Amino acid sequence: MLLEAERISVSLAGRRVVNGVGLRADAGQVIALLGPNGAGKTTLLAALAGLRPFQGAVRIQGRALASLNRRDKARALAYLPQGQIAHWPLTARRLVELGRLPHLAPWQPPAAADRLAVESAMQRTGVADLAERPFDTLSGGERARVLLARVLAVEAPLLLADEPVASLDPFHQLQVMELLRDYADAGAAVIVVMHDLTLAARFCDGLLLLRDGARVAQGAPEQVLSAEHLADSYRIAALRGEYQGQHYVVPWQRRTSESGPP
Amino acid sequence: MLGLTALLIGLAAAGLLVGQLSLNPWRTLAELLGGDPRLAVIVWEIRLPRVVLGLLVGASLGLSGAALQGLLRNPLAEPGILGVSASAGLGAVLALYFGLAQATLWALPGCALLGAFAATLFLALLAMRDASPMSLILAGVAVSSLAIALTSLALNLAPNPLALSEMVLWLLGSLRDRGLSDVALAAPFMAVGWALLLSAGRELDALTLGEDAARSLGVGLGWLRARVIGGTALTVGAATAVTGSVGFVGLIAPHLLRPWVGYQPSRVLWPSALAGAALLAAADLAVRLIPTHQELMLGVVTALLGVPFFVHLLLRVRRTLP
Repeated sequence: MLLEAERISVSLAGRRVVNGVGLRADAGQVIALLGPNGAGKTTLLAALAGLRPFQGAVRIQGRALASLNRRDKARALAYLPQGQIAHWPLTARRLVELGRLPHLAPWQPPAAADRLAVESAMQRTGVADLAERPFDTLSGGERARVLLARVLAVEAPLLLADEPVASLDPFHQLQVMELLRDYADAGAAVIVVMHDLTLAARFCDGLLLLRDGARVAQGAPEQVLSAEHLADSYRIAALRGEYQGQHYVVPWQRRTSESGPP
Repeated sequence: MLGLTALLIGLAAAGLLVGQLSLNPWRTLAELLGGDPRLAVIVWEIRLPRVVLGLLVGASLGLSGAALQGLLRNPLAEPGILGVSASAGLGAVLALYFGLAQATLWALPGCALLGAFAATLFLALLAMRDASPMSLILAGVAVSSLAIALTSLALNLAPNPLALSEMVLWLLGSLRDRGLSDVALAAPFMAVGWALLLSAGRELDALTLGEDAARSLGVGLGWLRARVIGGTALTVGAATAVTGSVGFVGLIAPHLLRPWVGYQPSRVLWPSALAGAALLAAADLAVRLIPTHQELMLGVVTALLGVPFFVHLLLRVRRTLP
């Protein structure tokens, strides 16, 4: 098992934001963290990345996260934070190169393997043409792909991505999900926070649905995205169906406490 | 980099060869080579320490400005504007006021370092609480005002005119009448500070992606902050201890060079040190050549250059940040 997390609880400023949630991901799997705003998805993901203090146990490839030193941890997992952050307008290539930091020897220039990883990541995300463009001249979709290339360049067995498809147009949403799928198929585990239920149903092997920091449902997409669970966590009724053997879920109506079943 | 180095060498040579005695560097050079003993004393014992100190102080200010900007991800961060220089100046003045400076040679630079360290630490703690660029600058202005007010208080209460004139130096900054002993006093602290700041390059690059992403790439934020804060305190504290507070060099130097190196924090560090040195050498040359009744203070010249830069940057940052 590539990632095993047991009974994870996280408190932020004295408030319990994640409450006893467990999660497992094998190599080749994409797992989505779902739930309404404030459900604790981002906090859980950050805890899995070792960025928030938590109670419980996280093991990556059988080794406890807490026992890894900074460098080993940085090589074991790549973390893509929410919101397209680049404080300086570096060129796309230099941003992607930052992903190689855990692999660089101190005071040494990047090796051939590092350059190869950067090129490959930029090829896969389709940003090779943008290599010399400063970040602030890129469109939203281009920025998202450049930052995705940055995490791919880490070449870590575990990829944690926080809303990588937020604010992207449908074409680029599909592209990013395909990239994450391919990355997992190549032998990694991917944990992704997202809001698009159809993309989650189509591209992920397993879903974890949260509300108020606790698990509502966990398992295969069609089970997790049942009418009951959607009402329970998101307070919505959804249009559901199947096309070419794949499930789709379209949020249709808010559900208030008074309204009956759809 | 090459152009910058050439400029630096040119300015340093001009600093040695041009002065009140003669405006013609070639004549000075010829007379110097001809073995004029009076000129040799002026060049080697008066001008050389001044030029060397100017280069060291300029490099320190440029480098610490670039590193602070990288750490705080804020192009407005600068030891002068953030009050680090003024706090170091306050430390120096207090050392003079309480007579510590007479007691031991190391008291004055020590107090200047302490002042710089306290101010930098305060600002870093503030920045850790997710302070926006603007509130950080405002906090720096507050620190700066407080340090200047306390320095003025010390001046008001100064026991005699001699002490007063000595203390005024730390408010305005000057390279006048500095000796090689001043260079020897400041250089070791600066060297350690430079090493700390230059070692932070790659981690400052990673911070471009935000603190969480940088940590996920293996950057130890606490250790990084400690090095940049310590390095800034050492370089700026030592610089201020020997020249008084000279502002805006750390703002102008990185700002001019950033576009040339693709805005990458690590690549701004070295060139900023060179540019800071060149800037201060040029400013000091101007101070010596502008014919005024009394020699202008160096800090005044850098402020006259720096304030338009600051306003320009302020307007730009306000447009891009909430």
